[in-house]
Amino acid sequence: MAQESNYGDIILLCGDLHVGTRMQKIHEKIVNVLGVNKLQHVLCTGNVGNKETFDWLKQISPNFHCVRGQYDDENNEIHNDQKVIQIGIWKILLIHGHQFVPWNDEETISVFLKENSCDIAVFGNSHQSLISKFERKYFINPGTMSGAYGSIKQDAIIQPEFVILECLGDEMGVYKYKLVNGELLIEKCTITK
Amino acid sequence: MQNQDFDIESLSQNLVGISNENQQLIKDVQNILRNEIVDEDGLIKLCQQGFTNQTSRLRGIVWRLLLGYFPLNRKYWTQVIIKNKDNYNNIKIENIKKAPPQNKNDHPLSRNTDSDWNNHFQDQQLWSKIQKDVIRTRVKELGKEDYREMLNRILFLCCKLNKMDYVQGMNEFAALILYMCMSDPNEKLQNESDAFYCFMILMTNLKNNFQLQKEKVRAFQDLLKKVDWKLHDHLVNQKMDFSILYVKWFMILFAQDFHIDDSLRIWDCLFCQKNNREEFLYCLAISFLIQLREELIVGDFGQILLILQNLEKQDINLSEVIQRAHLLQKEQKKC
Repeated sequence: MAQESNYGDIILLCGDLHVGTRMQKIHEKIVNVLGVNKLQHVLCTGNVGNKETFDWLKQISPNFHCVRGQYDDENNEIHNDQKVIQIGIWKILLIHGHQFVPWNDEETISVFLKENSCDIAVFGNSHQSLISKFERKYFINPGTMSGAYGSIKQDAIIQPEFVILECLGDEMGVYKYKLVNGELLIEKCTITK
Repeated sequence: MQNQDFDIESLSQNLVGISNENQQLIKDVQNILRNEIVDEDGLIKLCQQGFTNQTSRLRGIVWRLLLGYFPLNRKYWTQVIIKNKDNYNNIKIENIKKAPPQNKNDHPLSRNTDSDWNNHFQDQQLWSKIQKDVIRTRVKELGKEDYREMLNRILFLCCKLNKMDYVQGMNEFAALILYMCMSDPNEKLQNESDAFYCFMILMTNLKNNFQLQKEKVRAFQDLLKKVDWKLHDHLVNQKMDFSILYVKWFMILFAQDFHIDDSLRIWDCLFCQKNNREEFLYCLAISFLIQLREELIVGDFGQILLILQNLEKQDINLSEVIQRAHLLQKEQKKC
């Protein structure tokens, strides 16, 4: 709009979908709520699944970024193992996360961030969402958007999750969405650079 | 705050190059405006043939009066302008530059009607839809970036505040009104806020304008039959569908394609028809057909269509058309 906006870029963080193998589809509530024309960026941590899902992710925003998970070998449209994306004054490191040894280890992730001069690490792999801060850097794991099970098949039901960021200058609004019993629960917080 | 009387003396300044007849018209209108309460009927009698380039300086005040934006009592005009400038500023701030979301339960993907984000996305879509039309509306006269933004704002705010959909054609109406305001020789009348309110009033008056109303096409055809049955029958024989004229003539009210001075003049006439706008519109349409009678009556379907769908390209004396329309209207009253 040719006018000042107090609304920033809206970014979808998602990943570990495994559609076609571990899960049949993305819940329609999630597909519907994401809609069209709302997102400026989509950042996917990898392990997408079938082509149909990958194509859908590509077209729900004008800026799609995806990195390679362990199960993305057949997808020749994913070129990177990690990617640095700049949005506003924020630099985001997108990486699947299986590269971190041990998983989710703060020190290890920190090293990756420093090497790339990034502020936020967005990664998946554990199929559990996470938003945390470590030494002035942020870690965000958006979980699995389909509710697919992780590397160890568990009997517990995994809830579909994803994260929405709103970029507001040196602040980011962080919205964690979780689908529980067909309803979307939302948790909100703010992070500052 | 000083309540200055709106200046009408400047209307009769700089009359060089203006015909005696038009100079008289300007002075007569000025006299009417000099009274404390404007004699609306007297004003309409003077202005009902519409303004030409020589008399267009009168348009700003006359439109504002006939639309009801200005009250008939001149001492309030300055107040009206100032107050509405303020109101418009507030409307702009509230609807365009919005405060960030306050609601605790709000989030970017919300579809709730009271969600700030949801409203923001709807707004964006409305803005874009309007913008697509605005960039090709009256490019010659309103092509400047500033004017484009004004036009976008006026249309956007009107649709938003009235909770109505944007419909193609509204852009042509708003463009005429905006151009009328911004090209006024009197600086005090060059206000986007005036254009906005006048447009809002117009939209309120034209409630069902953008729906095809078959009865109107029928009425138009019947009137042509009454006035010139030979021409009517020829057009019918050539399988002419009268509803193809409906959009450009009865819906868009001659606001599109015509040279802007001609569109404005036609609207001068329409505004002067306080309660008989529709009737006059039929008479005007018929008058155009009669003006082109010679070519139409020998034309086949294709030739007829070519002429009527490019009315603005025909060599037409608009003064004659308007005069005839008034005569037709008088004659119909006698029947």
